[in-house]
Amino acid sequence: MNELLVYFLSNDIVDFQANVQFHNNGFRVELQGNCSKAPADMNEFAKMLRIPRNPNMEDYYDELLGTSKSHAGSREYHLLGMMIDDAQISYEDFVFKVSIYRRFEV
Amino acid sequence: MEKTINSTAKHRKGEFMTRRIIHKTKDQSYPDFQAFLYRLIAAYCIILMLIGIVSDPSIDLIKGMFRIFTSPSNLITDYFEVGSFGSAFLNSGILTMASLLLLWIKKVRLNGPMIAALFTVSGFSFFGKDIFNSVPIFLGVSIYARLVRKPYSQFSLAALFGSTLSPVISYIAFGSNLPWPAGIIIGYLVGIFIGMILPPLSSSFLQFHRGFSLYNVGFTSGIIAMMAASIMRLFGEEIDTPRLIARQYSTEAGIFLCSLSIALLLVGFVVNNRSLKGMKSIIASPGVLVTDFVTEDGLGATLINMGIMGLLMIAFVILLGGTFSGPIVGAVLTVIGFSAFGCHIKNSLPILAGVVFAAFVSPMDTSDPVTLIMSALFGTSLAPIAGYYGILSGIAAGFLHMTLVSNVTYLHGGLNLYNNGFSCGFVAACMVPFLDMMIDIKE
Repeated sequence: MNELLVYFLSNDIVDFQANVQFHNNGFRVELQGNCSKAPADMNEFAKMLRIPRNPNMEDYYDELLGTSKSHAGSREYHLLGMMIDDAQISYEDFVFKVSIYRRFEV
Repeated sequence: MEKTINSTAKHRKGEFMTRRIIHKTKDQSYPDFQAFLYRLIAAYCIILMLIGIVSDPSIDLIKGMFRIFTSPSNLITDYFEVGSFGSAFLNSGILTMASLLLLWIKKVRLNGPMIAALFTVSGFSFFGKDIFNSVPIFLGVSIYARLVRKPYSQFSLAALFGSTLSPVISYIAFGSNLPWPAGIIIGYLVGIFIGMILPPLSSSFLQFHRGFSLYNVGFTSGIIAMMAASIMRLFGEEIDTPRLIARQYSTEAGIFLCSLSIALLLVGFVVNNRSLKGMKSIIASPGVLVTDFVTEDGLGATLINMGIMGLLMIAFVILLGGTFSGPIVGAVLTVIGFSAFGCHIKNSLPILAGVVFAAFVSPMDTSDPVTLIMSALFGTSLAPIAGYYGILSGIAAGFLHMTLVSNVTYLHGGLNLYNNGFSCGFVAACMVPFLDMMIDIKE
């Protein structure tokens, strides 16, 4: 959640809603906000989140996520990408939306 | 299924808008180079073993292996000196192959971090790690995985890097005053315990340096080894730190490293469709944890980067008048490995410069440059500082590392092989908040 918030704020998207839904097999986090144009690095951001999930890495490096100070930039999105099963990023009708899903069991 | 839509449509108020939808779905998979990469590293292990057997085809090879297994192995114990040239290579080949087999059995996907871990195991098998003293750490991690009911593969990285603490086992078994059977049993029990606590600790300590020291397990292990050494000292054990360094095999070891680096370069170039595609992206990367060049920039470009870094480190050693002893071979192999996981020429050179600068402005005796070269090569653990904050910060990090590294060995009595990783953790933890503050003031 922290990484997504940082992305929204760093793109000056300050009017947004967050939604977290827990299901039997996993949980979904959705953020959507209003902005006049799509974030310039939207494709790069999507590329990082689209990295396939790698369960061998997440237990060791998950401590690097959610820290108060963001250093790694795209590295954190890359790490986030390795920990999720699905990501949908869209910009439509001046609404930028990110939805990620993570299963509990790999 | 992945879907990307880019379209321009007329908005109802008469404005033009862009509609872009990008999906990532579960069926997206990694490029299929796993079998090739497993075979490539297996070939490397076989070559190591062949070098060992061919260079010492006699009973001396077995005797050398026995001396390696029964050595206390704490820093600095050069296996070229303790065993022999052949037995050190055979030891490295066996342990690296065993580690690779473990990953293969556990179906672990090889990527940048895993390559770094395997080359680190291979490198440190020239001065401290062997199959005898590494097994308890692997067992301990396995028990931890069972306790938390997660697959072992999730902790394989911590297990491989965690064998940095293998001298604790060897020292208790063969370096303390205990009789061998009792020493081996106690050593193994301590090793298993260390393996059990290492995964949660190493993950937790990441926050200490915020991902700016690549040898994170080195820092964690330094803390554990410091406690182990303190307990031993409490009970009257004096830990001797040897300085066994062999210089007589420098030419042969240098040829091996050169051949390996050139082979990595050539294989990478071929795998990369005879191009340098991806190298620009690697050089532009800050290298902050977690930077997996294999996943981000491709296997070919990663192998090229590993080859380039290997040649650079060899040139650096020769330039400073060093010899390719076991520890220096280990250091070069470790840097080659971490060139799949954060290190590249642009973020590593400032660290080397900082370490050398510190050595030459101080009254340090550089006539025997082993310490200087090891500090510089392993100091590339701080490469992310140069990559993220700039060249000057990188030089400062190298300088600070050189000042600190020689003072921390006493704390753990050489029981942590990644002594430089221990030092780098402190340097990164001190520098990162300061550099952040400077940036904040500037902004």
